[in-house]
Amino acid sequence: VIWALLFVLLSGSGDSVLQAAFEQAAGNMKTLATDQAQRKQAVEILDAAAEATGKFEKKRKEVYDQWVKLARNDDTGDESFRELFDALEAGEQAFQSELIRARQELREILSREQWEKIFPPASGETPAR
Amino acid sequence: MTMCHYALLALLWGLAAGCATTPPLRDAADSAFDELRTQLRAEITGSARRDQLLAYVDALENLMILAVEEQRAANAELRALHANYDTTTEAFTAVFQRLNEQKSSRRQRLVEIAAEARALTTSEEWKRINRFKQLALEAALELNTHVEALP
Repeated sequence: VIWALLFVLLSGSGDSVLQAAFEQAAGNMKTLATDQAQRKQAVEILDAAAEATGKFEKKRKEVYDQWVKLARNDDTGDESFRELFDALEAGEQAFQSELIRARQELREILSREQWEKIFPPASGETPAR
Repeated sequence: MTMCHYALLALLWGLAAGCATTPPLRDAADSAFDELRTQLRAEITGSARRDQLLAYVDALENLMILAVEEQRAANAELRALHANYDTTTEAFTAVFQRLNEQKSSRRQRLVEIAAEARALTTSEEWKRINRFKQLALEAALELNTHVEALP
C-alpha cells in the first residue's frame, strides 16, 4: 500500500485542474456558445483535449503497472526506477503542453463574457491577476 | 476488503476531492506508514539499523505530506489562473514547470531513500520486507480500478 500511495502522490501533475475545467466547458458550451460555427470549433478543441487526456491516462496506467512490477522484484536497481520516472515526466510535460494549447485555442474563439460564464471561479476563489 | 483497502480508498478519495479533509487524509497515511514501521520493528535486528530504517520511513512520510501540500497549492493556483481570461500561456507554463521540478526532486529522493534502505538490510531481510510489500501491491493493483473511477 505504501508504494501505491507514494506512486499516486508523486504522480500528480496538475493536469486534473484543466481536465476538469474542459469537462465542465463541454457541458456548458451548448447553452453558452450560441453561434453554431463557434460552438463547432470549441467542441473540436475540447474533443481533441479529451482524446489527449485519454491517451495520457492510458500511458500513466502503463507506467503505474510497470512501477508495480519493478517494486515486486527484489533485484530491481535504482536505474530502472529512474528510467521509468524519466519516461513519465516526458509524457507529463507533453500532455501539459497540449492542455495549455487547448486552453489558448479556446481563449481565441470565446469572448471574455462567454469565458466568465463557461468557467466561473470556484466559490471562495478569485481569478489570478 | 481489508482495513488497508479502506485506508487507501479514503486517502485517494481525499486527494481526488481536492484534499479538503486533511485529518482523514493524514489518518489514512499515518496508518499505512505505521504498518511499515511495525514490519521493520519485527524484521530488523540491531537497534542502530532499525532506527535508521525507521528514520527513512519518517522521511517517506514527510515526502508524502509535502507532495500533498505542494499539489494542493498548485491546483489552487492553476484554477485561479484558468478562471482569468487574460492569463498567458507563459504563466501556465511557469506553474507547471515549478510543479514538475518539485515532483522530479521528490521522485529522486524516493529512489535514493529506497537505495539507502536496501543498503542497510541483508538480502534476506530485504526479501522478507518485500514479501509484505508484495501483498500490499496486490491490493494496490485491485484498487487501481477504483482510483480511475474517482471523480
